[in-house]
Amino acid sequence: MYYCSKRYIDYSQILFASERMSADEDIWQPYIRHIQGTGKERRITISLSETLQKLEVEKVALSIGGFRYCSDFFRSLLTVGLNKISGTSQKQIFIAIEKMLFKALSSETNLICVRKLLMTALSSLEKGERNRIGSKRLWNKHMETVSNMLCRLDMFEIKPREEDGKPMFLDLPKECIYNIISKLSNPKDILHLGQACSYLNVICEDSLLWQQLCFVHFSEKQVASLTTDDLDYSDINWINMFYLCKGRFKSTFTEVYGDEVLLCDNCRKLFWRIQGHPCSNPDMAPSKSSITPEQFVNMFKL
Amino acid sequence: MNKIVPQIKLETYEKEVFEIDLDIAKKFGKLVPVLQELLNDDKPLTIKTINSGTLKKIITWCTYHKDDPLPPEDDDNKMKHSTEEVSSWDDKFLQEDGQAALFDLISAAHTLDIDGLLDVACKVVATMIKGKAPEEIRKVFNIKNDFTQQEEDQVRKENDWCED
Repeated sequence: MYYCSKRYIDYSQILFASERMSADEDIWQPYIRHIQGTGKERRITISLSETLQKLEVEKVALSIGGFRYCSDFFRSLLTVGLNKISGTSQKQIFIAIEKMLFKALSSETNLICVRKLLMTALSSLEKGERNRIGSKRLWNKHMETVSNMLCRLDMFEIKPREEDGKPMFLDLPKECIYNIISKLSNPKDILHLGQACSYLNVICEDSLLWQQLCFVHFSEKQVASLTTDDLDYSDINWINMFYLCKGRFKSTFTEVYGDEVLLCDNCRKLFWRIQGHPCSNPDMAPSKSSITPEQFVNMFKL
Repeated sequence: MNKIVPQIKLETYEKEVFEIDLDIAKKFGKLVPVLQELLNDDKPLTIKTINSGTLKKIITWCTYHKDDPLPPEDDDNKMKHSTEEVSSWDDKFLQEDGQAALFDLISAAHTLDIDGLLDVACKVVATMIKGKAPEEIRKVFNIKNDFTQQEEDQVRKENDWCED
């Protein structure tokens, strides 16, 4: 954060103003209740721009938990086609995407996720150019904005942590490092961390860690089908087991979203999981359903 | 000061003594029985590994989360829940002082056995690792690559299967 050279722009300053405004809010539970129909016919009766505003999608998009969900939601919207979205919503989406880029650059997280989002935006703009909504000039402006953002992402380099005498990652107690690694559910992240140095390599090869990972991504039945009956779990090389399971059953590892849109079955409000909602039928048994980004997009008449 | 609330005393690295309501110190897991025994004692419990700034942050966190329900016991499915579930308050609170302060907080939460704080702080560090190449991880955390070229090639080859 203390670099002056041009290469390291302090993006956190740009975000500062918008983050500060919301710092003191105690209960923050955005929701909408304009839902009609059931199943695939479920529709939101207010406009996309009003929904984005009322559910505060932009703010959620800038949180650790909501970033990926909102990014997938925007990508899904962009894939449906920018020319089906009103000018107001387009503007909201591009503003949100720009802030998401700043957030990704300042926190040095979700960089791959934001790149995918920008690529989708670019291809949506290219595809929709013929039957665009609004003037050619505005469309070109959007194009330019997205290309600029991609350029900024390409030029970005991670700020190296300096020797400052303060605690470093490797100064953490081993149990804590293990705890952190156990929060990584994508095997690729664990293996990449293990490639950083020999100490981390040993921790990242822990058998129990991979055993847990196996059961996160594969069912007990699947794992059992690759072992012989008399084999004790403690005799299994779990990294190898994971490798075998991956080859046999599944090749991609999508992670559960931290935050996501839920629909309350009691009061039919749409809300964010982490924030919760004020239920108008609190006496009924709590029951809610997850709405995937794609389902969310389908709820609009686009 | 309300005298009815029992307080415990903790002394930090800087020899500063903090009085903490027992109500808040309940978050300190295994340490609670030890602290309860010390209740009638005038002498503070000294924890040399924790500095005052960090303890202040810990008190703030514990106060904010004082009334949180206990997490469900079933540890089996821990990872099935998202590892990115961090509230916006925690997110801001944990990241506002930078990486070193976050590590201080993790070590202290480990020492004081504050499960909830440890859990959420580790999630935040995990997000810093996600999606990065080994060299980027080294940069972010200032980790020295102590592999020889040969060893590094070997490790990379072994891990090849996870690359797309």
